[in-house]
Amino acid sequence: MTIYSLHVYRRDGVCLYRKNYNNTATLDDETESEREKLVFGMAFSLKELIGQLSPMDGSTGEQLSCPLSTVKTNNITMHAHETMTGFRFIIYTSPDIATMQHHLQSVYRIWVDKVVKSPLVKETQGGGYDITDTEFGRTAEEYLEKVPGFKR
Amino acid sequence: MFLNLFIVNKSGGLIYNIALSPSSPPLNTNDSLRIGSTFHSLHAIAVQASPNANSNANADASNAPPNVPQDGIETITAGSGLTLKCLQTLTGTKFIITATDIQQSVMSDVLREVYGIYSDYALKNPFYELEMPVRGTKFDAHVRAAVQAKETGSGFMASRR
Repeated sequence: MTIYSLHVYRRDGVCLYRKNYNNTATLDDETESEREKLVFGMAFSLKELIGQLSPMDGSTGEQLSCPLSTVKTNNITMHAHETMTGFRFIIYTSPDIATMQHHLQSVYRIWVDKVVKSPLVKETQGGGYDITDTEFGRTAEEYLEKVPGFKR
Repeated sequence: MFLNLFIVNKSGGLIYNIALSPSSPPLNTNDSLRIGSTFHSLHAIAVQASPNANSNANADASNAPPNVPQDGIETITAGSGLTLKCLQTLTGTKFIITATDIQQSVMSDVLREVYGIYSDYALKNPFYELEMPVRGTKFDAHVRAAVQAKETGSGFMASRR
């Protein structure tokens, strides 16, 4: 059981935070930024796909809301949580971890505490945030380290 | 209950779809085709987007036996108990099923059975062209029966719980 990485995206697709844990290979900037875009694109397209496949509610005749929760392949599981404001928190883990919804919501709360309420956040050139002066990275890592299944 | 079944050929084209429940979302032909090909692409992208992607890709290129289809999305879970399961065969054909409140193992069993029905009533049909849409009343009937059997079977388990 291992946690590989954490991504945070804004609703327009800009990646606000990405961190690899447990010695997951971090490649050069270009490949990583491409991968960030792929992850967002996949989460976005899957949300639409699931939306089309959602069942109809028997009583109201409308489609049920089914927000994307996990995507599992042979080697990894991607856990996603989208907030009401369109922020996406995505964690990649080994395939034996079934759900991280509770932890994703805790990471969101850490985000709200450390980034949203912080006066030290700067806007960068690419439209992202420079959040190195906040304590989000450190606090999130401390939280995730306590999650059972963090380390191999 | 089971909602929809799709079969996608190795190029991403939809060759079969069926609604399995009255609560299935209404999908016209275009919607289904689009779902089939979108899933086909996302199935592959999921591997590229994952963290160990590059190290996996290098390993696969040298060690993987030829003609084995790539790793890809196996399961998607969403809110309200919606689950999507995909079975990719060695030939690259994907069997995709969606359901709510059905155990994942039961869904995998159904996919294996549908694969068996596909090879019996489509592949063994001398008039069936590979990778083309599957049309056959026997195929439809057997698929419905297999899904129905698994549905009542798992429903029984649920009420026992």
